[in-house]
Amino acid sequence: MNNTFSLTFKVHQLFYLRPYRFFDIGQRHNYYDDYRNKYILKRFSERSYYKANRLMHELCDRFGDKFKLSFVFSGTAVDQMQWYAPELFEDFRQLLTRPNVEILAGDDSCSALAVLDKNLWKAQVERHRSRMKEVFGKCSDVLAGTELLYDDAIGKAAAEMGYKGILAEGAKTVLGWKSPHLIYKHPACALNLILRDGVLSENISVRFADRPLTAAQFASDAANDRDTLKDGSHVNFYCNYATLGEYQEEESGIFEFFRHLPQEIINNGFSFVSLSDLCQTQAEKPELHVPFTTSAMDDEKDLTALYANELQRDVIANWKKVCPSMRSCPVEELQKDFRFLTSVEHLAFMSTKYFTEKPSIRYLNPYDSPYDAYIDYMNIWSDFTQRLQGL
Amino acid sequence: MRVLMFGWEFPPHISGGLGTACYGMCKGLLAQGVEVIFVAPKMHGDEDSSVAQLVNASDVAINLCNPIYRDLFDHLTYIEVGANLVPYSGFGQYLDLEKVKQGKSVFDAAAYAHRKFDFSGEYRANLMEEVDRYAMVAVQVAQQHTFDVIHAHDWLTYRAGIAAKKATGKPLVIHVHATEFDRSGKNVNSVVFGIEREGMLAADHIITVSNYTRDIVINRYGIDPDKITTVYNAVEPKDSEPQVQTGAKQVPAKKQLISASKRKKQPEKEQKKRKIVTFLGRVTYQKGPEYFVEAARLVMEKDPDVEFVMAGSGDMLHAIVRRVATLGLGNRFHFTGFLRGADVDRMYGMSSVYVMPSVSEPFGISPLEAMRSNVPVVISKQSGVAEILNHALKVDFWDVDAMADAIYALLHYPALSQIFAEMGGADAKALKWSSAAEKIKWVYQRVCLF
Repeated sequence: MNNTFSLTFKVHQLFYLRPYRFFDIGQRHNYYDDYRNKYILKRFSERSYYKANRLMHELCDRFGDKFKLSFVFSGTAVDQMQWYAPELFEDFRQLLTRPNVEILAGDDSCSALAVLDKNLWKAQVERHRSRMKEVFGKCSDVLAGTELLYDDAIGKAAAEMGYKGILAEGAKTVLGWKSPHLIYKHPACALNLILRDGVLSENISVRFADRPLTAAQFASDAANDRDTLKDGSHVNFYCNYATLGEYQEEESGIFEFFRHLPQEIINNGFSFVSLSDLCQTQAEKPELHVPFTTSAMDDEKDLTALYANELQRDVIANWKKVCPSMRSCPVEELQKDFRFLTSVEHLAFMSTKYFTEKPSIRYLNPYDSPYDAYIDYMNIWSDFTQRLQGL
Repeated sequence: MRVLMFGWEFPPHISGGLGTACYGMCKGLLAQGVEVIFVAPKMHGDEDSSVAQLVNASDVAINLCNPIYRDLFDHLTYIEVGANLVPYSGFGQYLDLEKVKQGKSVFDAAAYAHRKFDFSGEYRANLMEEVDRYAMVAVQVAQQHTFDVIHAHDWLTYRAGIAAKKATGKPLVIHVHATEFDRSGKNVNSVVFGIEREGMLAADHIITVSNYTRDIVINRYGIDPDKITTVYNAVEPKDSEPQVQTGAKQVPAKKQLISASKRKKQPEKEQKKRKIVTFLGRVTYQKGPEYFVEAARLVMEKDPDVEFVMAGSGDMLHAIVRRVATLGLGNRFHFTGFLRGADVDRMYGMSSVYVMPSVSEPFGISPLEAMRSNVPVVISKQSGVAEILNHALKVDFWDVDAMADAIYALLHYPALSQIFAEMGGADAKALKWSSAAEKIKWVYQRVCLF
């Protein structure tokens, strides 16, 4: 019996777009709201990142190699840190030098390319991976994509790139009666599927302020099927790093929760592992077939937050149209804008779903309505495509 | 001759064509030797007061204890306050209503009776309330000024006109810029219809902006054709327009000059390489925005390089955005939101074709503004302006194939677009407010005689 627990944090910052008028098309090519981007990064770092980093240092010191955690960074977050807050970047780098901390591969700009164009996606993931190695000195063989988008085809592409494992959502629609607390494998490729426990994760990331939990309660919830699984249970906790202090405010007790979490987890018979350790185990794993795309978003755990209404479909169709030319586009400036403009949040701002749970969409949305988001975005997109055609 | 004119808005603070028309009219009338006292619910202080004596209704203090009100209230039983549900017939009841409204047991009647109304001058939920309060203020204004004729623009001011007429006995002319049938098709708001008909019946003479509207007034409202005269609107020559940029005050004169000259250069450059088709107006049922979208789809099937712009906002905007997204046109179909002042001219300057697909347009001043900027226009036959323009392509609003055809032709056959741009410009410039004002003056003289 070998019960394991993995802790994964996502660090992502979006490049918010400025109000871009029709008159600007063909005239101005600066699409981003620099002030807002700087402000939000500053707010996040003051309320969350610095304090959370200090806490993680403290936990690493206290538990030594008994404590493990994984990070996945988006390229846009790294860009923003390097441009606007080098001291924050240095703070993260200090934490990442610790052997307890693992960096997962991910999507460069939190784009939906994984479902749009596999070739472009592969190129972006590889680029991001080498960048992670360059700036942080390491990157593991496990992938955690945008909002954990996953289906069989994405799994196949990841295996082709040589990844040993991938983090996906333990979506009820796919699992049915099966437990999310097992390591599965891809039906055709040599790829380990590590599943996030969405309920446990969102108990903290979404519901903590409304329904506070102690670390002890959380750990005993995590252990509920520990004894029924004969090969031991694995629980993955995945959320945005900004949950600590920003999405859940310091006054809610979120930092105290995480300060006590490792001890309670260990007391419940779990040991901390990194995701790459999980992929090393040789035990026989059951296959999991995922015919449609799942994600970590909303209650539905699918693409409806991004791909439900006419506005979003039109934007995605536009993305698909330029994908072929982006594969061969040599202009670095255009490649950069393409990355920044294809972050999935731009689609999420156009969502007309009622109960969207992502806090970044709920309270950081700069638009009055999904329609304003669409109008603004399409103006920028027309300018971008004109530049692309003008090459 | 002096005229007491009731309007709802005055440039530069406008939401539609009514304010612009009133400005041009005042200017034209002044040239004809007619002095205008122009009343609007809310003035901002930066209006051009050289063309008329401006009266801000929000500044007019009225005294409800004045006996004239008691006398008038006996007659003006139609005045309602506090939405359009509770009619009242006297000052006492009025106070009772206000007491209930304010939820106070102690009510200072004296302080209440001496008061000013704070009008928003906008189209809001309490519009009916403002319309009625405007009528109460109108009585006060009418008593303070001397004049020969009362002139009221559109249904919002009809009640003010009637109240002023009853208070002073002076003749009333009402000006129909639009009817409820234009705005709402067959689903008319019966309250608005009622006010409109009331105004038409009480008026000594009615001015309509086109024969198209004249027919509606005769057929739908049952008004005697003899007391209706058509006076077409006009456009002001471009250079004489007031500075309508709202933020203009803060910008130093030098900077303004620089930005203006910059702007002049830009559109010419853009015009050459971009083909832009423009819709400019409120995005509402009346203006037919959905037909513009369908025509855009047909044109883009043939020529994907054409860009379409919908400038304006309104209750149908979201539905239109959805439709554009569904058709997958978003990349070439842009929305600018409500444009004002310099941006409007800039928009015309960038346009290759201007389209007005209105379902029912009493007049339609915007094609004239486009033609004045030498932009060829496509207009719907269901508009008043179609009666007087020779160099414009006219189509039925519902005939999107014909509309697409016209747009495509103007974009691709330079001979055609050139003729329309030049001759159309001349057409538009021939329509002058001075000649319109001459006709309006004739109407004034006629009502004063009887």
